[in-house]
Amino acid sequence: MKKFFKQNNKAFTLVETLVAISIFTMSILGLISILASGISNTGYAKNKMTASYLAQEGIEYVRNIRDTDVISAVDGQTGWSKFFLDKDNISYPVTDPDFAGFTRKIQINSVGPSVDEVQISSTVSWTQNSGDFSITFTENLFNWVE
Amino acid sequence: MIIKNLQKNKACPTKRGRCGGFVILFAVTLAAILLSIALGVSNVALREIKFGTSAKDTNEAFFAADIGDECALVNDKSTSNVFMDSGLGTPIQINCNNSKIDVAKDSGRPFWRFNVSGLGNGGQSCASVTVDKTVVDRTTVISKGYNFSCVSTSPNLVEREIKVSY
Repeated sequence: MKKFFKQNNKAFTLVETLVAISIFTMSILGLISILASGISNTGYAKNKMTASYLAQEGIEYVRNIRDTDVISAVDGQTGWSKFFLDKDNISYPVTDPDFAGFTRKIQINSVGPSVDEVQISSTVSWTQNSGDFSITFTENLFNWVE
Repeated sequence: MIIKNLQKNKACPTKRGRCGGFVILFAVTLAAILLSIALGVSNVALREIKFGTSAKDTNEAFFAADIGDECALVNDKSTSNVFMDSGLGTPIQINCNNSKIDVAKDSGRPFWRFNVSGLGNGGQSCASVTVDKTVVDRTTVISKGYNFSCVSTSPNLVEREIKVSY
């Protein structure tokens, strides 16, 4: 057997080269696929962060309207009543350049029969290579002003 | 003659006259370097996704804490006046987030606790609220918001606290 290998070891270089090429090819393919998914995931993480800030801003926007109504009215109850009645007619101007590629939907709903509580729901959705995504925050505002 | 010269100038002349293994050694070394780069990139991407998710969880927990805080405030209005020290440990119920919530009072002191659950977008968040009136003419509301249940032991649990004194 030893003699056989000693005599026919010239083709080893070819086999070795083929094995080396296959290992190298596999590593290159692995690198490319992991880089592609890594870049995609990084893009998703970036969009998710932006979307969460925009959704948060939506909640803060409605809270600001509530606070402004309560502070600017003759008394707190009148201000809250104005906010509660106008809640379906609030417009949300979208002028920020950060909104490129994002859409935001803000809803203000009553919570059961209560007139002292509303639920705000702020949804930001976006589309990227791997599909449609959205992020939603909800917050309840109460009429706690005396 | 040329072949003889080449054989003489071999990079690794051995007694047996065979010099193999370099190509595969280079290939394995290169593969290891490339795969370690790939591992580094995927690790960075994974961390970024975790960071993005924690930003969402933070907001969920903060809004839950805010709801718990406002729920305590609305029930402490002079028209509601739920948190009144009657001296008795009578059970109190309040209504927040369209659900009846039991308020537990510490016996012998004006200190109340309640949990508001079913908050957040998926109804998973929770707020644990305490109302402290042990100091005369001073009310302190501490609301701890969680992105999961108030008794969750998840390693991804985020807590945000809001403290209001008046």
